[in-house]
Amino acid sequence: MTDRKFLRYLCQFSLVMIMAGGLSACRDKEPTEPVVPSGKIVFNINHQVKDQPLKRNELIYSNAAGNQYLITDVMYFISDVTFYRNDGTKTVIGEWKDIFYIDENIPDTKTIQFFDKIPVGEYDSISFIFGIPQQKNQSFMFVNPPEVNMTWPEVLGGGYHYMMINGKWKNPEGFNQPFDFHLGIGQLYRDNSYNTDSIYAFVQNYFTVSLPGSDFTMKDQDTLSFQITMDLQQWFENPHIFDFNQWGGAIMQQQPAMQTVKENGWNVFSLKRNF
Amino acid sequence: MIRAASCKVLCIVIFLITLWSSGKLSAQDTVTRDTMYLKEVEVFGNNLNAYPVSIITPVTLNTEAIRDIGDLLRQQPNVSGIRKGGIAIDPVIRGFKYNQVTVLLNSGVKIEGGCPNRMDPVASHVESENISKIEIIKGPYVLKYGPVMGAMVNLITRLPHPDEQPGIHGEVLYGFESNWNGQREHIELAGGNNKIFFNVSGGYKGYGNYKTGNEVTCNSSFKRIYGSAAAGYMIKKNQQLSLSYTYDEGKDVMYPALPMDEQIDQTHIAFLNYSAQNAGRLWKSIEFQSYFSSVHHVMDNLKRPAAKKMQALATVDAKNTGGKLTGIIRVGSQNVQVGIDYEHIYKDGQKRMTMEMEMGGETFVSVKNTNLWLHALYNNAGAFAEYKIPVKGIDMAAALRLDYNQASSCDTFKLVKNGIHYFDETDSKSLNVSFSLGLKKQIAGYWYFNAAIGRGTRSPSMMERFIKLMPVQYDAFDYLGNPGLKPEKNQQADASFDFVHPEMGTFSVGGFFSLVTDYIRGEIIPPSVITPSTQGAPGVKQFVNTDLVYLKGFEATYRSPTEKKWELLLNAAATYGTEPEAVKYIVSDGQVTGEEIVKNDPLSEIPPLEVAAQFSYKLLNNTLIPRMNVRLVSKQNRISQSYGELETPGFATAAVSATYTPFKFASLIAGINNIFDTPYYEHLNRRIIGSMERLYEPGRVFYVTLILKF
Repeated sequence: MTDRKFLRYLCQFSLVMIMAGGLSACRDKEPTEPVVPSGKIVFNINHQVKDQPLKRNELIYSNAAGNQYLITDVMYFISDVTFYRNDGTKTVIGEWKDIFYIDENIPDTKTIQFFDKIPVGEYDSISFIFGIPQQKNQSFMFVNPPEVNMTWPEVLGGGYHYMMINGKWKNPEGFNQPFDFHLGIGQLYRDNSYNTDSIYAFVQNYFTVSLPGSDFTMKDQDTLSFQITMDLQQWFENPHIFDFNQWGGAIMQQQPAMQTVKENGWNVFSLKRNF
Repeated sequence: MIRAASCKVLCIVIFLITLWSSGKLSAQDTVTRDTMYLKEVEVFGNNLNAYPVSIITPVTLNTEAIRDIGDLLRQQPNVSGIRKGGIAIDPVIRGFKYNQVTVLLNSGVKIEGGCPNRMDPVASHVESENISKIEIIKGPYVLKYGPVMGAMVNLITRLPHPDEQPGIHGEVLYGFESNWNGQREHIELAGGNNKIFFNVSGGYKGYGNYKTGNEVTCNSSFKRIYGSAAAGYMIKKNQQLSLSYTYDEGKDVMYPALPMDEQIDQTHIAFLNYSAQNAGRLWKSIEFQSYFSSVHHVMDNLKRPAAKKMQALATVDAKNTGGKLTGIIRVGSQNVQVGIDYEHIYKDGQKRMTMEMEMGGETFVSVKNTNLWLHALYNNAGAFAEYKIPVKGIDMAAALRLDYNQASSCDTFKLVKNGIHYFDETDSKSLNVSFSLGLKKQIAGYWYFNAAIGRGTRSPSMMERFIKLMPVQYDAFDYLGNPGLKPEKNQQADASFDFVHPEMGTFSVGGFFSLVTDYIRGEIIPPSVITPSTQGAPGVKQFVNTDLVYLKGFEATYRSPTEKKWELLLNAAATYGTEPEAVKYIVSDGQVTGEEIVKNDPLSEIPPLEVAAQFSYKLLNNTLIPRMNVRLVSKQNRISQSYGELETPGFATAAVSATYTPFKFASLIAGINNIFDTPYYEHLNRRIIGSMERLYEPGRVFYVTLILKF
């Protein structure tokens, strides 16, 4: 065999090998999915007290019960954001992420750019769950800050706080007393001791918020922006007046107090389209 | 170049053995009392192999300040390593890494590391002081040691051997390294006669934290203690039986680039070897080997700031059992090697996470236990044949290997969402075919041409199949195994030219092209499906098969003739890896808002072009040999966009050392690594956990090693 012949055979064999490998790699290629006309949606979250932007750490607010209060932190989760189309179908956000953390102290969390593409069409309304639904609210599912700081103790029901509003109110003695206005899984106790050994049942306190006036039209390649506003004052009134002097600063182990907060949550949020 | 020198030595040995045996061992019935049967000797290098082989010889092992075999391997061309702490550097050969590189002990013993973060790659379970030789075979060409996909590293330990003159010999080693105030001590005793023989050894290594060239203290301390005992028995003049046991323990080993540190890692390795030469008319030799290795690995984050919020503790037990039966059959004037082998892995591990919360003056504790592996099993049975034959002036070698692979796990964990079965059925089986063909031809005068092509198939590892939420790759993501993975295949071609001249030295240049199909890589799973369980992990990725990737590269080597007083060794090597289509996630304000396809994305963790030179000179009748090493490493800007890899600047380092051997029984080695205290990091060094800061290499290190033999 001459050298030239030898090299030629070698090159041919190598080529066949590599082509065989390439062909075997291509055999499972999946067909490309058809492109559905769609657009994107962005939420900008805004926190207010009585129609005014929230000013933190200033004792300038008072609620319907007459408590003077200040706010230091506002942190909460919303989940399962849903867009209802007028043909009866709906799009539930969750292709990428389905639980969103919002924190007044972290500006990035106040803009939610949904990964999901929203199909074109006429939409009637938007809703979301305030907090995290039971099947998704699993302990240790968040291990990184800031979400991990929302952990709700296992013995009190586990999972995560739905909401933490921290601040102070002026108590009857005239002192600024801290409050932890926290919402999460509630507990039912056999007695009034709040001893964790006497817990006999847990109560899921998450609820659905339907945003009034949230109809819109989605066009192909459009990006729509909505401003979602939380009026903190509403947590303390309508339909129930929440009195810090009655419930004290910590409500995590007081289901009746959390039930009051939950029922006050129905009109805390409003929506405005940004143009 | 090391390869060439060692090859020459080996060839001389083989030649002498052949001459000797032709007169004395032509038939079993002519064996005399003085005949010593040696174990099979494998010869690599220019003269016989068509594929690239590097050999690290005892000379190198004795002259370097070695605390870790992975660190030593990085000195070979196109071999680099992933650094996560002070030791246990994980070898990457021509861009192949993790289980794409097969690491063996004594040509057959396998070890399954316990740590899912690869704190304990295979080579970390063996101490360099117990090693007599290391073979590095690049490419999927040698198939008799088990499935090999990208490359193979064979660590040959110091085993006892028969001795015509009964006696006991010993070796004592003491080494010290400044900077990290490291000490290593080793003692070995060997003895016996021509019937029974043994060796025992043991040692300790204790290293503190090292300082980098920019005076940053790296949390890299570790302790290791080890011991081994082996004995052999000549059943007959042509049959040998040996048994070996090794214990190796790592303790308080810090890994600043991983979310946890190693609390303890205990390894037991036992193996039995039987070999018979001239076992009949048909069988030239028969060898049987069986082994058992066990790793108990415990790691935690208790010394990390993150432990204030959440403590994590993981315990893993991994056991690997196997064996092989091989033989060389005489077929006419040629030999065919055939064999069967089997490997069984058992792996089980748990992670315990504890979170403490202070609320209203009360402390609440939440605990979560998860399985990393749950009674996971992996079985691989293989059969191979290798045939070497000269055809019209061309030395040809052909090999074929078939593997039947099966794996299962007792996992109760299921992940099925929106009709997608992410983690469900854990049983999987596959039949894998691997083959290779090598050719070598003297084309003119001192010129040789070598070519090899082959296909190496490897089944997915225990980690790739069953791991649950641990950060086991380059990026910080938690990874989820995929029991449905297909085997990964490497179709590779190598070609090289060697110029071997007795006066001018040896020059070798070669290149390779590798097409990897069903390439296993990570793909992000949306947080709506699963969230990470490791602090600092931005999300979860799952191992998936991607269509294909390709790697190409070259190695060029020059070595001066060994007869000269001066010695020069030059190396240049580079690898380029590309994924034709990769998915990159678009991140805006910390949120994933979309994805895009990146065309021809470079593969992650591929080292850049490197040129190295070593010069030495023999003085005072070879009793004093000073050496100088220089490394020039280029910038790595071919980085993976899909993995969010970072660029690495180029650097240059230099080292000097000298070996002084005033007497046959004593050697003193002293040297300085990183003379100019250069602050640098290799491209494959991981990031320090919780930051974008890269893990730097040690700054200037003075070292001294004293070896006494008796």
